[in-house]
Amino acid sequence: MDLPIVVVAGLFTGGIYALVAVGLNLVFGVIRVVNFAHGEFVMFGMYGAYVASLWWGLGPYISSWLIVVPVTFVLGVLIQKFVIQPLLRQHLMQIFATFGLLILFQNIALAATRGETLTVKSSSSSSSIEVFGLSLDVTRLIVLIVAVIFTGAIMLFLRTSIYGVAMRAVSQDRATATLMGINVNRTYAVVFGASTAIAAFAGALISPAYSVTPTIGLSFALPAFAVVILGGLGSVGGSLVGGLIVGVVEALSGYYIDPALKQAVWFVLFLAVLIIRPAGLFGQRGDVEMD
Amino acid sequence: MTKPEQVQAGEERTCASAKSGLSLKKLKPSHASMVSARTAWASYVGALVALAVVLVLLKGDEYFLGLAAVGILFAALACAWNIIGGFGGQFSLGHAVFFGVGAYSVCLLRVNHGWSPWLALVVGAVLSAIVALLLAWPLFRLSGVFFAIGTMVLAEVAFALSIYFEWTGGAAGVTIPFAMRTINDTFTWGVIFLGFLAACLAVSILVVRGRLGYYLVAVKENHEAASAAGASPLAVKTIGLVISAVLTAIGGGLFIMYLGFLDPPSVFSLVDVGVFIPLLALVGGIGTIVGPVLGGLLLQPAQAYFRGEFADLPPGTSQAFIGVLLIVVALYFQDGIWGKVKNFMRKKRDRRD
Repeated sequence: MDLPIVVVAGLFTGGIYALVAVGLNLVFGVIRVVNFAHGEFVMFGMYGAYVASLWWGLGPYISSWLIVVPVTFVLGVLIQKFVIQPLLRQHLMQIFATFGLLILFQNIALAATRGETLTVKSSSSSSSIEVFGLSLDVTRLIVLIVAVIFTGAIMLFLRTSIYGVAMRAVSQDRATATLMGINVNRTYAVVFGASTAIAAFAGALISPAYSVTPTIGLSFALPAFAVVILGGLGSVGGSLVGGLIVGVVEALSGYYIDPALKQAVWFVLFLAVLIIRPAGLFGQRGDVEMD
Repeated sequence: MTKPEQVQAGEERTCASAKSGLSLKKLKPSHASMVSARTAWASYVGALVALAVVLVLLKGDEYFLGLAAVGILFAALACAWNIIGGFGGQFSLGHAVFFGVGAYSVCLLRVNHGWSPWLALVVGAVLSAIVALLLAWPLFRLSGVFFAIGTMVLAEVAFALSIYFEWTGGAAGVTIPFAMRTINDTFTWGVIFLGFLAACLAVSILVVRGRLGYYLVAVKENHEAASAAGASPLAVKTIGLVISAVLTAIGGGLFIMYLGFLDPPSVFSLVDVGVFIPLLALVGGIGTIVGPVLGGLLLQPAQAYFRGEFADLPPGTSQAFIGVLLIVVALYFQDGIWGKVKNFMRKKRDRRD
């Protein structure tokens, strides 16, 4: 009886995970970098939505486009230029550097808010609509729809547009792509900026449904890592499906086992996939190896 | 003489993912290296004696004595992490799991069952070895960055489980009642930690100079070539992880015995344990014997001191500083302190030759 409600709740959470994982996966697929600070951009997006509504009275659906996306895009480009670019082939140092960013961003947020928990008010906060007898939370429904549209659009972009083809070329063979006249460094900057902007956009969209704390980033980044590995590294469509699977599994285990154990459950899932299919459900063999 | 040296330096730069302290030159044992091995042992002993002198000098000053003692303990932990993380190149961010196994074993067996903490420490070490053995196969299917992610997620799961169960003390953790603490003197703890550091150093040196050390470096530098030459990468990495895990569990147990309480969020903290221990190794010099110890001795007391000094600043300031330090070191100081010293000495020696 409760099953449909739990599954729908899981799909909603999964939509968030998918949106966060898409950017992470894009960066991995094209630049071959794992950004440990990815979740912090979700946090920035949430704070951005909060500040915009507090100072200018803008709702999250407007401020996300007007403020959050441009600012975090530029921030992402700068990080790519000054932190990621010098460490392109040094994977272990990338871990340190992006982890440093994670710690830095978390604590800037902590120092700025002094650890206060904040919530964004929006007209969608408490509204819900009824479909097939199920009451659906509007905020989360929007996130799910956006996640589906975004992943579809990114896949289409990568397949058909000339820039998308350039990005795929760079991800497959950096040297040859350079010879073909593709500006590899600019491609990297755009991809990194886009990934951080998508994460922050996701943060702004979910801000009416969640309270913001400085450490909230990891609670989205950790499942997003699981999603990326589950769905296949570098596979955008895999991120969406992987995100929805992780969301539903989390909701089901939260309902039928215990909410406190949801992490443990998706970790077991994640280990199982790694053991059975190290390249992920939609990834290709060989993707897991870096350089 | 200068030309091959330049070529080698160039090669080192291209494969510069955490550099090993063992250059290829060292693989050929020569009379000179045998002599330097003996002087090396002597200088390790000398350095430990110097640390003991520092402890004696600080006796009476509880605050600085405490800083020094914990610094020595974290130097030992960095040294233990370095066995798999540095020599083996397996970048674990989940050593908090082994740290936690040691800490929980000591606390729970002491408080709930009245065991001797030293016996509990042995149990913790054995449990940690078992945990490492069980985790090795799934984790080592991952390599590089994915191994780091896997171990990080693992630490988060361990944290979630530790606050979920009631028998672990839940979210409140465990406090060892004052009457149950066997040693309450900071100086004695400093000496115990120093003994532990000596043990970690000795293990680390034996690993590097023995067969396992060469296997670990071989697996790190070239996985396929190492397995073609007969070193099973999984077996080699598993043994490295188990050794590192056992030492880390002992360190965790000792630390909790010293503190007298166990707080789950700090035991499994990514910033204070999981990433902090590798950071100590990085600052000192990953993959060298001395580097991690040096990093621990310098950085851990420094950050504890600054955290205390700048307590008036907004929360998170000292942590933000650690974040900046991580970024700067990763970008500009990858060899660490000891790596720089070694390079300097090598250049000087070459010039003399």
